Amino acid sequence: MDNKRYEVRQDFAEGLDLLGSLAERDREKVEEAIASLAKDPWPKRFGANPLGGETVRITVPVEDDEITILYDVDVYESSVDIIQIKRRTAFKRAGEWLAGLMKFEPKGK
Amino acid sequence: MTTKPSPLVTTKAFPLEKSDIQYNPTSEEVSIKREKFDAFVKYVQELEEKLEAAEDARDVAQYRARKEGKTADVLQALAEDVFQGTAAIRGWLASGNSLQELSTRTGIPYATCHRIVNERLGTPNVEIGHLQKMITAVSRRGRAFFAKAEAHPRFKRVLIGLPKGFEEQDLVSSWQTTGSEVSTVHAGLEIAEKIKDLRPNLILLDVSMPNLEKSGLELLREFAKEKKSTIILTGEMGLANSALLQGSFERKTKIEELASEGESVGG
Repeated sequence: MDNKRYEVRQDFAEGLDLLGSLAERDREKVEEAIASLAKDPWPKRFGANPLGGETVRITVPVEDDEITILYDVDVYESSVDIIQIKRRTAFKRAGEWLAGLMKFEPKGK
Repeated sequence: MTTKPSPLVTTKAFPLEKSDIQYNPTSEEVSIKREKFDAFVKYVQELEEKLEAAEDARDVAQYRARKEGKTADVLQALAEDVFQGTAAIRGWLASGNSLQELSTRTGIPYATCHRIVNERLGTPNVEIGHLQKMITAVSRRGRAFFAKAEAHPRFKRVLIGLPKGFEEQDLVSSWQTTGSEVSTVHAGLEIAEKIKDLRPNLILLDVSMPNLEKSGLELLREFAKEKKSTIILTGEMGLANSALLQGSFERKTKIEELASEGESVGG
């Protein structure tokens, strides 16, 4: 990780209204995660996952849900452009259901 | 441009059969063939991952289109197609180029407008729709399968005939926990009527119960005519029940076989 700071832009971002629907504590958590991209655009603690090209995805855990943030990182311009902020509810539930099934401890051949 | 759906296997290629379940009513453990179970979990996980990736790809494509002004271009081209050069397009353009306005003015459902725009933008909504349907179908099938496995009675309807008060509650509750519907009868005279009404899959009968009109063997012969019923006659009700619940049950198809075992099986 370099020491430079990245400009975090939200000019064409979708899903900003989602922030308003979150509880204050959760909203602060998501806003902090976005702000932290200025220092580290690939934060491991939010499971930064490069999707190809400049696009990266992070996941911020909130109360009973997870928030996915998609963004582009331009290392030459030192900028981060937020693409989308969205809930991950359905995928989280599906994951929990599958995790529950794994506890099923199937036996037999 | 329309994105083609991924060459996914269909639910028909992922059959979940009743025979994949093994159920032990004593321990209430449900066993599913590991191979089948692992395949199911892996399959759904892959579908979910593909769907999430497709949704991300759609969001990124829409973002690029917004940024490059392509959305407005596509909307305008769509409006021109729909209105076919009529004066209505001028009003629509003046209204701010919204999809909702286009839908309202043309009567084309909003979802259709949305789909067309996304297709023209090259976003993978077709693939997303396909994946969502797949996950719904497979998950529903899986949920039904596991729900069935959790309450899979070995015998759907059980009729227990025994003297009143004799270990009754233990016997009844032990079968109820397996998911069976349990009925009891306390007098031999009521048995025929109960069998007719309930059509039990299993009749567990204590030969010492009062008012049995016929001998155990005679009853056995009569019940054996009911091809769907399995009949156990015993003087050791607790032992027979325990053996049945543990699954150590050997089906006798010929009445002569049972008759040859005589009093050790029947009364």
